[in-house]
Amino acid sequence: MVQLEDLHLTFGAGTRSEVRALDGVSLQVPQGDFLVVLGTNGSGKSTLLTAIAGAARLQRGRIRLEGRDVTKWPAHRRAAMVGRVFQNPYQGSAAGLSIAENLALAAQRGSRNTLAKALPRAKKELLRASVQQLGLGLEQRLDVPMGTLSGGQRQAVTLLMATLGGPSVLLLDEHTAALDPRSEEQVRQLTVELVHRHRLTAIMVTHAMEHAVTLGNRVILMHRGRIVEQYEGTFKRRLREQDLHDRFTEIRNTELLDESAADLLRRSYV
Amino acid sequence: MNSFLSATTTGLILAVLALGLVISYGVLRTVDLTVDGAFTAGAAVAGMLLVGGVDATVATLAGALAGAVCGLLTGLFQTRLRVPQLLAGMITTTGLYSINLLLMGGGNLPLATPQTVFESFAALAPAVPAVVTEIAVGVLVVASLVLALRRFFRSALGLSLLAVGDNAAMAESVGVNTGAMTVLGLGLSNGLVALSGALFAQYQGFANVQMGLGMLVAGLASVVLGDSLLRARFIGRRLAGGVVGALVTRYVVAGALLAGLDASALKLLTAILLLAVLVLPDRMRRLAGGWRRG
Repeated sequence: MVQLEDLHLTFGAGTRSEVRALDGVSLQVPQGDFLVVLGTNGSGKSTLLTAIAGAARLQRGRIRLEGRDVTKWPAHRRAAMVGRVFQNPYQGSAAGLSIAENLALAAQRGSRNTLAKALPRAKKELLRASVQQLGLGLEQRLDVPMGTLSGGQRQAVTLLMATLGGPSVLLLDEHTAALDPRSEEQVRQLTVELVHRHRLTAIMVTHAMEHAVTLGNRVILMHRGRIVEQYEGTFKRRLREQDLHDRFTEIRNTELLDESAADLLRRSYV
Repeated sequence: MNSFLSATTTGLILAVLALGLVISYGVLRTVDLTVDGAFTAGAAVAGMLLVGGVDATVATLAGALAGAVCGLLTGLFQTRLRVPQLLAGMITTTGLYSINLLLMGGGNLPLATPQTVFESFAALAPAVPAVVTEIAVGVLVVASLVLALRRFFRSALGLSLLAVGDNAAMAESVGVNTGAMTVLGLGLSNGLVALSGALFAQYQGFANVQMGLGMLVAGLASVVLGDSLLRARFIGRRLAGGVVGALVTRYVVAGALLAGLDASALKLLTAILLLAVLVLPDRMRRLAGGWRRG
């Protein structure tokens, strides 16, 4: 369960380039839900994930994961509960470490770092079995450096890493956006499979309306740091891409109207 | 022959310094300016204790511990006080200059009278020539450290340290405390640097407040040279590379001195060597690629 209460986060507060990335976001995502987050550019979608992961400090608000208030927890402590996949396939793993070492690191999430061997034989075999599920043939290449894999393979391994070690929440930040169409489809299918298998609470940021329609059981639309629309239950099941396009056009038109009104006021009174 | 043997001993002692730099430069990818101060601190603490009659092994380990504390301080400046990385090392090294002077009671501390760690080992086999014992001590220390570090980097803790240097954002996202790992890494690195300083002072028979000057560059030259010679990708080879690099660097220096180079030009030679090992491998690869295409 993810509970967000009145989240506020402003970049460059008090300066001319001030951006309200999160402006009073409140949201509850029950355990096992798959939430898709859509939004205009700069609407605060990625910042929302960063705030949940603990990598950005809030000015106001409260975050609860599994009922525990984690607002003041640093990112590395939250990682015991949160798995994360970044947009850039090269960001979520260590290129110089082997596939097995990357997986071992993820599997030790939330436990104390000790001087015990990170990769005893039994553990390596368990990791081999996990990698086999990806169907990419990487189980025979566990000792090769992660940096030698293609973007798609690397993102698939990163996705697997994000589910190892028992996190209950999975944050996906446009994690298929930088992949070729074939890899994108593979990683998308794998995402659905892993979310179901581990009964994760997933929050996925995307620009693809198609994903919002086909994936998950709930969709939110963000604009200028606020949640402006939510679709769930029957509304989500009946949602079509055209509905989302229409809603975005509406938002853009309102924004243009706001800007021209502000411009008119500036010309008239300044 | 004597020059070769002496270069081997010095190379082995400086291999310990290189192992420290494999951690800070090779693993954490930082250029840690604490090195010059920590090297002298190791020599100063060990020297002071030796003069005070403390056992040579205990004094040497105390020197290493002093260096580790310096590294931990630099790490804390960086991670807790948010001091930029280069400045943090500079602050520690600058402060250490005065502390080292105080510890040594002056700029120079002769270690002629007390028994050094080399003499302690020589006493175990009086018939063996001193130079052989010195090399044996060097080999023993370096081999033990390489094995211990290799084992450390295969542990959960060591793997976390490797991950922080490779991709800090990823490490944090899987629950690694990147700040704590940076502090640990710099502590470990400077502990080795100071151990090298403590051994070096005992080998040359004195500690000097200036002896750390240029050690960062010398250590970096060893690490970079070792990396290119062994084409090191994983940590085991990188550690071996540091040792090989340190030995080769000392043989180059010994060769240059034999060829008539003035001793005062040694730092210049080390700087040129570092520049060469940084630039040449890439240039040669490009040149070879050009020939193949042509």
